[in-house]
Amino acid sequence: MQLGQIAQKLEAMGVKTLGVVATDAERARLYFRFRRPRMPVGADPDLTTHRAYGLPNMPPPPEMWDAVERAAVRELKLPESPTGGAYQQLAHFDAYQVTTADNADFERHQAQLAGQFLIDREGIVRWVNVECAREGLDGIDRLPSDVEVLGAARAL
Amino acid sequence: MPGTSVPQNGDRVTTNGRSTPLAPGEPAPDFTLPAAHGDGTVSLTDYRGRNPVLLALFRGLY
Repeated sequence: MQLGQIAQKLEAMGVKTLGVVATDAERARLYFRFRRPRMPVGADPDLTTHRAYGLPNMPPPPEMWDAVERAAVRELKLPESPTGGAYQQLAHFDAYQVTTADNADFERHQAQLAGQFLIDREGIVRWVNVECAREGLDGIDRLPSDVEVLGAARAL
Repeated sequence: MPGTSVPQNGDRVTTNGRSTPLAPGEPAPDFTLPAAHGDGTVSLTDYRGRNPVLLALFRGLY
């Protein structure tokens, strides 16, 4: 389930969705020109929001690259291959070419984990999902199910 | 940054970094950031008292 699809279902319940992407606004706008987001997205290249919400950040562990490859296999619904290459295939399908600016972001950000927070009208966090908190590195790039998110929204 | 509306100091995240993720029951830090999907800004404050919000924090484009 992609976040855009969850956002549409939440919208029907009166819950808005906001995104924050960790790159500068100019680069993000270029990306979103071709992949229009279904929600407002803020640009935060300095990770100030990620830090304020306490999302983990660390030097990339060596096993992270295998986890990224497995996430690409999962995304593309490919059979596991000992030769790898799924991440490159995913990048090919995405048709996005990583630039030196993106590589510079990665050098500064290291392994920054993602997360989702459901916040009520009074500004209180009511539900949290932190990437990899449940499945370890196998949870990389994995969103919570729509059942879980919509259930949390109904409980507000 | 040409063409970018950068919030003034004090408009960005006002809470210091923390070592553990926010937990249910804690107040969500306000923020105002340059919009990445168009012009203007994106601010959590705009939704206070109006709508619940699902906030999704992503990595960069690498």
